[in-house]
Amino acid sequence: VRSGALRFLSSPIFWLVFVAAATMPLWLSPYYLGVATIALFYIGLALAWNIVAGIGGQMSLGHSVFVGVGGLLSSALLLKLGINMWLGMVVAAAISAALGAFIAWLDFRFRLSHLSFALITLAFAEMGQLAAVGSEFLGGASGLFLPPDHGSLLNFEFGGQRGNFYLLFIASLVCLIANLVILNTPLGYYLRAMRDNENAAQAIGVALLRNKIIAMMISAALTSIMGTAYARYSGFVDPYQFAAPHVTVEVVLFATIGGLGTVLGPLVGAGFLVVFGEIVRGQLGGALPGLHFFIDGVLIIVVILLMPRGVVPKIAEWWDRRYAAVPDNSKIIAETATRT
Amino acid sequence: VSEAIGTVYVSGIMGMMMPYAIFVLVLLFRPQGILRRAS
Repeated sequence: VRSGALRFLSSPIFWLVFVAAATMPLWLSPYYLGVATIALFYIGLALAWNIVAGIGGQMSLGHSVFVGVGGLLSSALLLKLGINMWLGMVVAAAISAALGAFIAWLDFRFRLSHLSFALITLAFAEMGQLAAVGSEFLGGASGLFLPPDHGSLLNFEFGGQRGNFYLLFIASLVCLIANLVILNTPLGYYLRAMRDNENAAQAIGVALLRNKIIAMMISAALTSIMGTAYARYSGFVDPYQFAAPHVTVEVVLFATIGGLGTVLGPLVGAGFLVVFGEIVRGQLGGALPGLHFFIDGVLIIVVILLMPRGVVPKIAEWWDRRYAAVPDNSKIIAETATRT
Repeated sequence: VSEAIGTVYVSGIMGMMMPYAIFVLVLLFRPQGILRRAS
């Protein structure tokens, strides 16, 4: 059952990419290191969202609530109550997991269609942003500034840009491993069965409520942790940056373009599109304002039209057709022919 | 209308959240739509 995950982790290409990514602070300029850090944030979010939507088929558009809880609550706990941000991160993740469990329960209890589930979670995202804007404790509309980073690990400070890069690198690596583990354990099989046909899955004995709640809790907690990590990197948190529904829309876009339900899809989609978007904005944003949005949009439309299942499944399909080993049956056929 | 009523009768953020709350309740209890009879 676990061979898929082991095969992925023992692949030389994985380790090559891993080493290249881990050494980025040594060979990237501060500007591009910042871009890479933002890309890691979105990679983590896309991978966390993939657990629920890609593997489980629950199209949640409310994950910005969990990013907001992770970023805003942990920062508010530190600034208003003096609670250590490590503890704040755990508290925020636990609250996000509880919220996720409630949303999953609603989905099960009311037997929501995919459309209703997506719309309800979108409404929760809007309500979450409004609640954060109206909350004095969470900093309201003007947001909160985190204290300067002095590099004290015990206080959730990582010593500037390099340290924050590694924080987000490790957090997104945890999301990647969570995807690998879930895909290769019974939970992953149950979730895929539920995604393909919920009634059939229930008929063969899959516990819908339990698996939906577990998947949503894991996804929400990981999303919240990414929010806390990004808050530390950004140094400033506000509801428009952390709890806005457009955060989820971007994540949905990245994961869909890369390939839903796969481990590499959200990683490639978010990694490529964030970096591409930033480079295009840097190169062309000054020449004609808004041109980078146009180029981004055209690219996304072209990819969706040519590869509706995503870039990674399309490349995998092409690779299999080109290089997959076809068993040589000619000898067996010849032997059978001589016997008969 | 719900947004207008919300902001008039319920002050602040709660009033702005009211349309979304109504929207969620309709989707949960009348998934076919308010005027459509459930099959």
